[in-house]
Amino acid sequence: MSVALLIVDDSGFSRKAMLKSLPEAWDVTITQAANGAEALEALRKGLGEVVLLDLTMPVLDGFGVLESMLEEGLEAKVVVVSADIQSKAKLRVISLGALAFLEKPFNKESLAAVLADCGIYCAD
Amino acid sequence: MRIEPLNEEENEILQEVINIGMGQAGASLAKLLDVFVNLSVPRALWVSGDDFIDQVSGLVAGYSDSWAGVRQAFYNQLEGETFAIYGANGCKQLAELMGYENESGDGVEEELLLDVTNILVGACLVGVANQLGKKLDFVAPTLVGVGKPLEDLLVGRDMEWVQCLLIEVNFCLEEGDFSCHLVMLMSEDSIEQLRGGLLDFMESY
Repeated sequence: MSVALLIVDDSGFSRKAMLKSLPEAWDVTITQAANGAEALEALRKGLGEVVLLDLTMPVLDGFGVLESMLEEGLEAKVVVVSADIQSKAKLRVISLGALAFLEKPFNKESLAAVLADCGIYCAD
Repeated sequence: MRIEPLNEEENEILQEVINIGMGQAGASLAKLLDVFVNLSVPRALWVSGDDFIDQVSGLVAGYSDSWAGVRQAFYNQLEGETFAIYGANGCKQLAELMGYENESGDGVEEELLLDVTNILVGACLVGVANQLGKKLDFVAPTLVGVGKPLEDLLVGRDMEWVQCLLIEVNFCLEEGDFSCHLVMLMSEDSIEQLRGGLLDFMESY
């Protein structure tokens, strides 16, 4: 069955790069959001079983999305994909319920590895 | 020769490349000070040399007329200058965070500003250059002034450009009022190098 995948990044280029880097055989229905507020709207509509979430964004950042998800009880498997690589940022997103942290710049291999590690999708 | 400004797509890729450089700089600062650093969404604008100061004033939020500024030039395949603009209380807080609070007044704070600028500029621009496959070297940073209005800190540029690419990122600490705006200017001559690097980066996906 197709997985509802939500891609959240304010950079259109970055969203495109994520789309191109997804495992080819992964059956997903994709929704895109350009900031945290759009992401929450999509999550409330059930459009995000799996979320690839950027941190530094206008309107509402990725930390804010994770906090709101906890408050509203919105459940999803969240992988944070960010250039904010300070160790305290990584610890913070994990404590807010994210499954993993993928550093930018990412590529096909690093994305596939993190999806497999989290038990979200494995090619074999 | 008139250089074509970056188009919308190139600008978008540039912002993402800067985002990566900024993240590396933020991580260096976080490690140095053992604090959490809030990052901003980077901004890149094509400006004429004449309204450079107005543009920077628009980007650097706050109505303070007392800032500290450090200038650091870079050269090689990309060429330009970086201004690090610190809030007036930033120097003092920096000294406290670094455990120098009892040694102020003998140039310690100024020394710290130079060191922190060197770390931020180095990490940010090396991060950008690495993504683009470009080589970069740096001149040692120099203190432009402390407790000055913004326009006094943005002068003395080595190069006068008709057009330049203005990039702004800022770092602030979650607690306290330390903040730093990094304003980078890239020469017209660097734009073609930059453009080539951006296209290569895009094609890597």
